[in-house]
Amino acid sequence: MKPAAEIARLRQGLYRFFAGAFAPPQPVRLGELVAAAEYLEAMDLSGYAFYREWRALASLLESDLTVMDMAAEHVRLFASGTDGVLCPPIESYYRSHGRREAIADVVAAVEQDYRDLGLITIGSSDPPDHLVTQLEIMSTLCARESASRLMQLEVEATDLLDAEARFLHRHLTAWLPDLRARVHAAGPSDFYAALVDAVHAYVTHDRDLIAGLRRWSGATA
Amino acid sequence: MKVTALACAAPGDVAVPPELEGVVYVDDLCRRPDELSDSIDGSDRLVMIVHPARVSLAQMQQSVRAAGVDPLGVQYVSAEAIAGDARRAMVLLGGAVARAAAYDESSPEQARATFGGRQSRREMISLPKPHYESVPLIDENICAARTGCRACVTECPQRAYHWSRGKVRFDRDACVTCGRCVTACPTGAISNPTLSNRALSDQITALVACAAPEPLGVAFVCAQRSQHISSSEWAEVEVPCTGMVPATWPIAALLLGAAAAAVVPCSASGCGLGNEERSRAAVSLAGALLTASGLEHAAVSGEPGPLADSLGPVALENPFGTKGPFEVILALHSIAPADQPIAVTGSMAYRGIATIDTAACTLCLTCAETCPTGALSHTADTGHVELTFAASLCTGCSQCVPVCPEIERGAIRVDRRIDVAALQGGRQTLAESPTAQCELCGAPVASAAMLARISHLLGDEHTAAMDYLERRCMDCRGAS
Repeated sequence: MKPAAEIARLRQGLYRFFAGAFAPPQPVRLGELVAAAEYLEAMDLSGYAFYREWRALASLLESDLTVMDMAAEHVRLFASGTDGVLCPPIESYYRSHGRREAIADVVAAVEQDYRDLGLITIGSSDPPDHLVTQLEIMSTLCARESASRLMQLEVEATDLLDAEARFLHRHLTAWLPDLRARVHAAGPSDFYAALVDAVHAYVTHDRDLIAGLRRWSGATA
Repeated sequence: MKVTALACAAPGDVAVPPELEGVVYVDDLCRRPDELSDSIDGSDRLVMIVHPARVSLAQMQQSVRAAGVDPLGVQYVSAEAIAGDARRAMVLLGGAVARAAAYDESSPEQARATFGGRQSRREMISLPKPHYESVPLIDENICAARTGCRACVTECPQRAYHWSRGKVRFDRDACVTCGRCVTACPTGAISNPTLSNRALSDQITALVACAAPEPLGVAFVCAQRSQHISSSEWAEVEVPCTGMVPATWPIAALLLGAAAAAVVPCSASGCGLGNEERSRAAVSLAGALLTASGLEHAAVSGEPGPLADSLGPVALENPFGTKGPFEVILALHSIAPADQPIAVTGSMAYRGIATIDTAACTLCLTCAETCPTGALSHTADTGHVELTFAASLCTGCSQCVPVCPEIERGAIRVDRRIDVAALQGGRQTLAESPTAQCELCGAPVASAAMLARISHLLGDEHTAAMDYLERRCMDCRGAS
């Protein structure tokens, strides 16, 4: 596989992994996460700066995590806010700055961006600006980019890289730091604190990586 | 904190001395860094003696990261810089170990992936691995942008900072990590993990201690330089760019025990930042400060020269931090000959003295509300308002000047000036005025100076309006 296609594939897998990790825990899903983490770990991840946060998360997955414990934490942090601060993993919560009328604007802007990318969300009960949805969107864009590079459609691949950069800039990098701060403020939660650290480190890194890849694409065009 | 020192033991290498105490030798470390993990069990930080030209930074960082160590905290000592000199190697190693131990862990925002500069044709058909460099991070909790501070925006030669609606936005792609924002930030909100006060302070202290009883000169050099200092009497202290070095840093090195200090301009590296002039200005100002202190025998220069007498060691807590210039100047004053007034003016002076033209100032207090460090402040008792200034807190950022509504009349001026008498003088009153009280609620309406100014602007035709303005505060205007 061409190196640029390979890296897009790896990025696709990582976004997919993180989306799955933020979804409500289930026994089958936990097993898949453990297997996916092992697979991704073998992809030379130590070459990237988010490896420290990734390793902290992966070592928790390698330990004896139980679905019940994870589910209790998931509900406490992301659904009920019991015994701590509620940390809704949705963009509009952080970007509406407490103004109810702004929530609809944020969600509408998110949905418009999906449409501009030729994507719609189906089969999900989550709101469109949910973290899982946004991670899945990035995963999809990376998959398209990888396919374009394999078919040597370099112009299309570069356009997709631009779309990824735009999406990260407009959405994930704009509110993930706030979610992360909130999860840490919500009290001890080994797995989800490590997860939000890892996804934050990864998204921050990916933003820079895309900038580097765009320069690299420009140099090789 | 466990720090391990590794050295490349390449076959036939004569540069790395063979028997350095406490150093672990790794076969061909430069080209095969993946084997270092066997030698650094449980280490938190690393120091490496390597041949820079042989090292692939991306590969080295990957190996270090895989071994559980933060790659941005690794201190490299060039094998060429020690070239078979075991004593010099131990001095530089001592400094590097101290700096590595003082390294604060980096956050994800502080590591930026890069694929390097121009690539060869071969590299264009295979994607190279990224390597990482540090970028500054703004702590929004202490950033003074909300008061209007734009010191980083003004200082950055790359225009990487943008101020908008009380927040500073940082463009990571534009940043070249020259570090000027770090030393210019009046509140210390901008940090670079590779460049903390403790890291620099500990490195210089260790260098001097390892060289003792022999004297040692300390040179601040650009991390991107291509040439190393060959003199065994001097040790290099790397900074991202020598244009970031304020005049008080070489003086701090002298106070920490160095027998001479230099800020070496890096024109040879051709980075295009145009910071050579700044380096020279810092050296010039440091020399002026030493002369004004009656300590002209101390040596600060733009390149390594003859050693002189050390000024220390003097205990300093935070010589390279935000309040470092204040501490360094007072320490200098404490060892200066008696009754020596120290006062120096210059564009690189990292202190400021604000002066007010009381005839033009209306005591609107916008300057005090904008001041990021609280150097300008105000007190308001019933019927009286004062604008005060503490020189010890002023960093000379001049953020107070452009916000002054009476700027055209020269109401406020900031001179970049280091003046020990002012620094020690405590808080001074710059302007004061009685305030008019609201006839309804008793709240202050405005200072008499401001009302006089408004009256002047309105002229004689609006005496009734003026009378009303003087008697009612904002809240009570319009009330019956």
